[in-house]
Amino acid sequence: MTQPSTHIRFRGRSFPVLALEPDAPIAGWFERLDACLEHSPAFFSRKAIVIDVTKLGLDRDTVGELVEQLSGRGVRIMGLTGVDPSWACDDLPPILTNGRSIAAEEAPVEGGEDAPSLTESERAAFDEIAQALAGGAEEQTHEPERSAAPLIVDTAVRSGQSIFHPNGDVIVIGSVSSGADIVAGGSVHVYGTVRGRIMAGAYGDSRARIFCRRLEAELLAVGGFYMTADEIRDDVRGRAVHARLEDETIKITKLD
Amino acid sequence: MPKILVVTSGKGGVGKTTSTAALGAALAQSNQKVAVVDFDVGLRNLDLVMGAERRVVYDLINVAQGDAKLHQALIRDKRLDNLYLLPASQTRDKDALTEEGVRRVIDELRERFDWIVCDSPAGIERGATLAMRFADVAVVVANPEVSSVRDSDRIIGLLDAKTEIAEKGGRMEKHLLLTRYDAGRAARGEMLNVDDVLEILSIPLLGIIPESEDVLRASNVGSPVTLHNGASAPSRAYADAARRLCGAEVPMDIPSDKKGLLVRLFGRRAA
Repeated sequence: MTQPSTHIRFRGRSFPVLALEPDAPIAGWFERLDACLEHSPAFFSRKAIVIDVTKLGLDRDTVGELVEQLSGRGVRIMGLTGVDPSWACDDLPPILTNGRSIAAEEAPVEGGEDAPSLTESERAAFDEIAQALAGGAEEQTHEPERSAAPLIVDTAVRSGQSIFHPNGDVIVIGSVSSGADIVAGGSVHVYGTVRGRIMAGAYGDSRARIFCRRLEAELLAVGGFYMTADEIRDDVRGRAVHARLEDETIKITKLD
Repeated sequence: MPKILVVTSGKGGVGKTTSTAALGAALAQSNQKVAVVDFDVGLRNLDLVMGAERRVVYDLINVAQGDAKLHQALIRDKRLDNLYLLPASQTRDKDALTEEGVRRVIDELRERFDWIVCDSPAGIERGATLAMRFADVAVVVANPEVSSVRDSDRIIGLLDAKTEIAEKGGRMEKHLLLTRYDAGRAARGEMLNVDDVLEILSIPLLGIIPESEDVLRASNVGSPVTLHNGASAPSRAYADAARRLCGAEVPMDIPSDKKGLLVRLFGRRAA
């Protein structure tokens, strides 16, 4: 109980990001951008920028050139949106989809203010995210009507297989092999040996639990807090156990 | 009722082709009509192990594409009258096989044979899934090492998902054949032991083939090991496995380290 916690924490976080929307003709847009940068050279420093080219309908090479031009001006591009996802490659920034815009008062670049503050739009973004998390979780799971019924898997879950059950428990009558995943919104019960990865409460339910007949897991996660095989103590390894979240740490207790 | 048997594994080099030839020959020796089919298009090794490489005229792909009749492509074994080989093509690429073509060949074979033993290519690609597609029984070949067992587990998952029998809601009969087993090394902890492998894969054990030079010797002279030297340890293990496939109750002979207790004790201490 007193051992220092060594787990690595994974958490979903939302950051408001500025999306630059170049408009045609691009040469003219760059002129305006340069004028802006002359006013406030540090405008883009320490800001992550997403380039939104939805309205331009550019081809791949032009986008590549655009990205290069912007990088040359010190703009740190963390993503592209509005392009064909199949363009993904090493030369282009990661391609993002499903971004949601927030009501921006005015495009900051065109406003050209010195050191514009983002607090208002940040707050708006956080409000929106909070709202989305509270009400409209369907956007993340694409499943508006989810049943909380448990999913019963009455075979072994083999290496390479994944079981997803975003809401409700997963009950496996058999073992979960090394290299297999179980991702459940609720708790996970395994009536066999767990050698793979188990994620209970994968959508934030910290009350979820993991039960298994024999623990040899590669990874356990409850409510977004993870524990890898190395952190599993020897006295519970190979035993019938029960894992739950307690103060952001996974506690494993023997069942027998 | 003819049985379609697929011999499969995740990893290459674990002994699929050797096992296909040995099991096919052992089944044929028990007076059943057997066809062994090489699905490893592009590599083509079963004909070598069967000692028929110079007699290949037409192959599986010719038959699957309708360019040759099945009886033109089937090669009868010189030693056993009721053992036939349908070879793979070495010159075509692995995508030349289609599901429809394979189905037609298998259906035609079904009418003429008691056992159709399909030698699958390694891996989880199309060739492997096609080889297992129409099977009723699978023999999963694994070596007692972690990576082989892990890959076999993956293959068992595919057998339960991607085969016709599974898609129709049925259950594929699966057996584990543990090859290249070295009892001494298993005892010293240098290999997984039989219990470990069975624990992880949890499918019934069909046989344990001891690591032996006889296997290499037989395949180099182009003979299934069961025909080459029927008295050798691997031959007997394969023959027992074949009898178990036919439903006979044969006690499992788990090879043990015959070097004696002292060696084993010291070996263990060192490990």
